[in-house]
Amino acid sequence: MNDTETPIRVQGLWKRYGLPVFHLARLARSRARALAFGAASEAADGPWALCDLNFSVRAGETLGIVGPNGAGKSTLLKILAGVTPPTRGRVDIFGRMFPMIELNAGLHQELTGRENVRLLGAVMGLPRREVDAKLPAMEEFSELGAAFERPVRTYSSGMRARLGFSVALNVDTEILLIDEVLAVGDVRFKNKCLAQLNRMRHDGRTRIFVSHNLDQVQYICDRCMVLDEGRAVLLDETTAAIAEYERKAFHQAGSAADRRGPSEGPPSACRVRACTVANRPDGPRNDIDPAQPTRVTITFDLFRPVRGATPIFTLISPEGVIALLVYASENGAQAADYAPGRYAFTTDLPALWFSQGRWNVNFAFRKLETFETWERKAGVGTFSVRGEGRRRWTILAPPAACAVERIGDASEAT
Amino acid sequence: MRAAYHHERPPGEETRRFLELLRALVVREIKGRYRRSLLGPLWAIILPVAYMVLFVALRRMLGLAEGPMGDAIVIYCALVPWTFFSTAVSRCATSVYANGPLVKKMSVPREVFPAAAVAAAGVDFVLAGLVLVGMLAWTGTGVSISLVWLAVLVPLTALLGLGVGLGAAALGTFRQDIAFAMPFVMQFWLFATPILYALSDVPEAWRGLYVLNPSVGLIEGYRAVLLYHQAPDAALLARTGVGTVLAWAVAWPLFRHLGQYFADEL
Repeated sequence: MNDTETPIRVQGLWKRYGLPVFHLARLARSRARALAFGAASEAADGPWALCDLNFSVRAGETLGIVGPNGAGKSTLLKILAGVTPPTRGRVDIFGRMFPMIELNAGLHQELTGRENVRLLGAVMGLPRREVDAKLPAMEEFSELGAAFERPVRTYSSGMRARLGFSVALNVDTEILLIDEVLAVGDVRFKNKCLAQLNRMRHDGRTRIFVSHNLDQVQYICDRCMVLDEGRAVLLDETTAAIAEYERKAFHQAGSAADRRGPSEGPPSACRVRACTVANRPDGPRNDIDPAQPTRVTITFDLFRPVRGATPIFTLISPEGVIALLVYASENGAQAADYAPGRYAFTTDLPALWFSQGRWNVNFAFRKLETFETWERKAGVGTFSVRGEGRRRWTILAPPAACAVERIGDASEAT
Repeated sequence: MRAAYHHERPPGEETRRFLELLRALVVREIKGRYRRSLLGPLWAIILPVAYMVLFVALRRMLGLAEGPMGDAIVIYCALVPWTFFSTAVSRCATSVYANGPLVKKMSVPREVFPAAAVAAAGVDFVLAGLVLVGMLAWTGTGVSISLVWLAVLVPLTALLGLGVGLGAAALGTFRQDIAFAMPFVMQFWLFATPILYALSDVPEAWRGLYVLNPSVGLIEGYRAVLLYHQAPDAALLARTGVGTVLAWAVAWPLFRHLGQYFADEL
């Protein structure tokens, strides 16, 4: 393998945090205990933040890294950046690297935006001349205007993020490490950054992109690695990897909601037993084809007689927006007085063209007049929406018949 | 399997980054430190001057004899390098901790943080030194060829400060105890150094032990060069040199080793 073809190579990488001395002490203690009591302790060998990672990134490629919280994504980036040493294994990096990890590290509160940009440049290892040359571009990209000359102390968190990003996206390095830095900032600026990243996609730079936002990963990554508890469970072309990740993650979450049983919480008048969202008779539950009608079923137990009340559910989009709120009482449910027992609340929805991603179902059981709530539970169910292609940034994405035609001459007059 | 991290970069890149960051950190410190203070850089002068007043008063109260040059300049001449040294060490101890966010994201050699702390203390040193120059001129002490020794003494002060500071930073990053102990240790060290008194005031019987303190040779050296137009006492200065080498021999490997794990700890 040539150095210039694979600038990032990782072989048999293991990572455990903390000083090895402390670990050895712990190991010795547990060995001694094992000798004394004859009990083998397997806990002594952990906890591993990363277990046996092997991968390489080709020049010009963008590798996405996804996974649940605590999967080791940030740890991996820190090791690649050389911030923390590997415990076992080998990491080889070739070329200048720009780690965009915690972009706002090193900002000085009392210095102005401009002074901090110079500082960030130096912090990230850029020659002063390069920073000076890029400074106008960075200032413009940040869109901070007059605030650029004010102390960073007076900035909002979004403005700080802009400052960091303006530096990060305007420097030339062969390798970029990007760690969830797109989580802050307003939507328009975020999109601007994404667009910039996407433009830079084919400029030969090698990039690693960590994000929880699968849409972003899909937008800018060529390949994608799924980390779970420090292990690379999947490394594949982005679309395939994300589809697999979603399938696993959502079904796990769905079954957990199904399992969530009577043991939780204080005894109340009402308790949710299960929630399913389905529209493929033969396919898996909680996995929705957006083009088909969908049935939502929520099973709940009622322990007391309740008068003048209704079950309600809401569907929460992947972005956290309440996309739909359904009162049983307003949609044909006959009864408003409920006797104790087990109930199934079923709703048939038309094809709504849900946007792709992970949706949540919230449930409530309420008195109609006073809105007194007997039961309110977020995330009683969850379902994933998959289908042809992925649409972004909207809650519903129905097909729309469009036509654009010229209908006359443009006029300056209003 | 052995662990290895290898990052191949253009030659000189590592050094360039180190210097670039060092410069940026010092500039940040100088620009940022006094921005919200009324007196600003005057604070670099106030501290040694206040100590000088205190020490002169102490000598009067204790009824100690005043030398031919007057107590003030003799004490201030020692306080300026001492303040440099002690500020350097104190700042080093917390430098890594204070720069935690940077440590967690950059792979630059960790020595840059203590080094920047010493350099920033050096700026204060220059400011306090200006007052000393004024005092020397006022008292008509004059100049002589022996001033070239400053080219040895000043770097030696910085090196000793950085050596001790590296050790303090290495340990202080892992356990807060160093930060708690630091003011007390430096205060103790201040009184174990001939500043309030002269080396000749130290009882003969203690002196063998006393001069093992590497700061003794430094302070006496500054006095000899600036006040008495003499070369520093070779034996004393040699002890300072040995002390500095020892400090580095212990502290630097310790810092190098522990430094890898700073990011894990912060």
